[in-house]
Amino acid sequence: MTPRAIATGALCAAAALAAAPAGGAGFGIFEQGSKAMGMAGAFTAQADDPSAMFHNPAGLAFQKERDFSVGFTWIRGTEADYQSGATGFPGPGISGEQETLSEFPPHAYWVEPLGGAVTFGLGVNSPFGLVTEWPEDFPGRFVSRKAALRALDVNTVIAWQAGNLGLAVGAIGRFSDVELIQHVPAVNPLTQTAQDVATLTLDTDFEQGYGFNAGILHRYNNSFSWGISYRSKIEIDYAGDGSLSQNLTGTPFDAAVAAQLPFGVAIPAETSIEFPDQASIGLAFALSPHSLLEIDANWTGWSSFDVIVIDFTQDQLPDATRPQNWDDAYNYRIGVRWDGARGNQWRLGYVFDETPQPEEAVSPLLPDADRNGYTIGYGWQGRGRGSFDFALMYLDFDERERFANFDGEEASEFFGTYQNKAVLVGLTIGF
Amino acid sequence: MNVHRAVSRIALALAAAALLCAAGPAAAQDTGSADFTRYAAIGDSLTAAFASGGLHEDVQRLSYPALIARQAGVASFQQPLAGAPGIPPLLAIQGLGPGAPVIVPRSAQPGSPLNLNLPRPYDNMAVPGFDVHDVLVTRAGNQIVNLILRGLGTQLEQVAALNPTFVTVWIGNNDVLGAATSGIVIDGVTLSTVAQFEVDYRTLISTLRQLVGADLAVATIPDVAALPFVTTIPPVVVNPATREPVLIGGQLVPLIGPSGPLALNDRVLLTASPLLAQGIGIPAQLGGSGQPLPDSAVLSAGEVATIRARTAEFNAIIRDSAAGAAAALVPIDDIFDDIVAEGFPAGGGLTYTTDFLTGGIFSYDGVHPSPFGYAMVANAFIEAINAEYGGAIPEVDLFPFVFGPDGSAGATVPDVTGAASLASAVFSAEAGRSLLESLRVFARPGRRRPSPDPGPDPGPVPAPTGRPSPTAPPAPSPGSAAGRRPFASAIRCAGNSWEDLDP
Repeated sequence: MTPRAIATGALCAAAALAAAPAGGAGFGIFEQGSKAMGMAGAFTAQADDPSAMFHNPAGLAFQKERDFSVGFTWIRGTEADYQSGATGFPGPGISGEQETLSEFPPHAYWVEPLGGAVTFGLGVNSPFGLVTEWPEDFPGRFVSRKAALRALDVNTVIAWQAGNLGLAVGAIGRFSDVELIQHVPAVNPLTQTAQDVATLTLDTDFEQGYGFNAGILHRYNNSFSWGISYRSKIEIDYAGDGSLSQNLTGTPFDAAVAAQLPFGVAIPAETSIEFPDQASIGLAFALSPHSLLEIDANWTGWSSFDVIVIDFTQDQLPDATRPQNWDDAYNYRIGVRWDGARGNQWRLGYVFDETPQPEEAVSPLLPDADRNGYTIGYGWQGRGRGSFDFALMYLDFDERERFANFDGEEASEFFGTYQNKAVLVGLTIGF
Repeated sequence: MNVHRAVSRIALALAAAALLCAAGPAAAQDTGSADFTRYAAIGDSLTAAFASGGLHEDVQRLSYPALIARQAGVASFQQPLAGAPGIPPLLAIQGLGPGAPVIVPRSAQPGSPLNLNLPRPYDNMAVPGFDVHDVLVTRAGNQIVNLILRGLGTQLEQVAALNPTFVTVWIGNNDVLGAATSGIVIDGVTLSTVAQFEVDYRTLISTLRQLVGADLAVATIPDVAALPFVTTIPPVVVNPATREPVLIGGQLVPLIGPSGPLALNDRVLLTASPLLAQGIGIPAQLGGSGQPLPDSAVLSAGEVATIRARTAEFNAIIRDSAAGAAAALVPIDDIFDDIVAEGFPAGGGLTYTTDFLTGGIFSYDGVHPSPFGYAMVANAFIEAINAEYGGAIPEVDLFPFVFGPDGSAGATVPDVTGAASLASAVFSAEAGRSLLESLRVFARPGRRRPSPDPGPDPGPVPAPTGRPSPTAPPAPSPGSAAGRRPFASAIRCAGNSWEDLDP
């Protein structure tokens, strides 16, 4: 039992480090400012508020007043269900529902014109992350019960304005940690069935990695602008400790398990994640003096996310490798806005976000899917620097099936269909 | 609480519950060109769902033929069911105290047959202990044999009498298994000869295909030298407290075999367990008796090689016969090799292995599968049948077999205190005797002598009349019955006997 059980646990641990569904496909979060969010993130060619640091830092080149803004996006899952299929493991009749997701990735920006054509920006946001968590009795808990990835970016930007052209380059420091919880099964010889004998928890320290971003924004005239932005890939090496806690079966098997698994000791582990690079292009058209339409396409280099390796550095558990084989993916965004009287602005948007995750990688760990997002937004801009932006997004995931395995990955097979829906609420205050 | 009884009750309840959970009303399935109107199974203990040293209805209802029948939509599939505590009584883990667990029969008294009066042959006609030759000629034998055959003819005759449209055949395991479980390799005695096997096997297949007219699925023979019964006990002295090999001067200390210190690639059989517990096979300087283990408790590396080579020859014959009969081939040998090497990925984060007691695939006797193992076999058959006949028979849902009928994977046994050292489980002498006798390793009425010349087709060719024909015994193959000598005698001639295994 023991070596295999541990090996299985280690494999799942490896996969868990990939975890976290989010507001963007894969484990990306594209909602980093409520104004942009109200237009479904179609903002690369506008970039006219401090969240430009995320959407297109070149937008800062046109911002000539000191500005602060702070906010968050509340991501709440409204449906996260699993239903097994007729074939494969676990077979028909198994279902489950995730614990209700409720996360608040924050964002905060400071824009400081330095005089002349140069503007400085400092931003803090969370472009990757989120959580999957299943109940303690979910049959797929041996693949993953909880997986959480947190990432916080600190982004400094220098932007230059040259006529109607803005250019920017910035440095990104990313700070991230990972938590996973996964149960360990073993065959109890007394019952000749598998039982839940242990829980493996892995917490890494907050580690950091570094990258850059850059952007171009061309305000061709009052009716048309275009922009391009890019954010580099960032690799973070994680170190942390795993721990095993015993789940008693109430049989004499417990003593055998206790004798063979390393309970109550730290299990050092190392791994790394290469966060993908991202590029956006946007075109904005003035529909009237008081309305604007923007169309964006975004690309994310998820193909860098091909395999996860966990190294249990003291060999208390076997090292583990698990393929992911994600594909590069695009999303397409369209947003409109109308300027009303007294600084009011109304926004609508739609995004189609394709999943980078192949069917073989879909699991309780991260059941990603193509998704359609529908947004509305409202903003108020005071006469001074005060502003308020609100956005609401309904995120409808396509039904996602898993009925295929990567070669050699049958042990983690957990076939079935996943259905997710979420509501996102964004709130940003400027001052 | 009596652990033995508690475990027995729980295991039985689990098996029954798993059945209820897994079973459902038979529904018509897409079987392709395979006709499951009348499905019968030929085989040995593996087909009969022998497990933990006996037949028991709770496991028999999960035999791989029963699972195939259910998945293929067969409305009724009759088997020779055995009541509790099994025939012979099933083995159970006993003595989960501070010491090592002990595996013993649950009871001294066997259970009763439950389906003895079925007025026709059973659909699952498999007989534990049967080899290929037995399928063709044997009409009576030990208690299990007689309860299944019921004097109605040979296994093949009775299957033919059912006029089946589809037959699964997994036979030949006992043509090599006796050598592995007895520790004695004698060509033509514990190991069937290639010539005899080929004649018998081709006769069996051709009879089923050409005369009975059934579609077939046939399975190969796994590597019996890789069974937990053979591989669990290392050939070196192990510290019972730490379960780690004893090192002297940095060197492993070999156990003492019949010809001196064992080599690292020799095998010590599970039946040596009670002897080792008494110090037999352990050097005197390490606290043992210094007495050697008997030959019947050891398989030398050479014997293992002989068994494997013979198994490969038999499998070549099976494959050729299957191809000639356009039968679906179930490559159990390859599948088992993969499982031995890599384990079986059950899904859901669990990998089953061939480890004794904790691997999940084998039952307490170390030879026969657990219900999960039999479900795996059923799926292997279904996959092969679908591939050969273009069907879409659904595979068996493994979930109830893995996590129990409620899928909880939680506690299922009342509190019992005590530590278990599973790696040093003792396979009691009673357990060994019960297992080997039920497999007819020591209790066969006789075995044919080596037969270098297979002669003409010797097999019985029963008419597919739809009724058993107990009065039409087939002609024995040349050199079979007349030249047989009791297997026990052969063992004694080799300098060993069953009694050697008794402490």
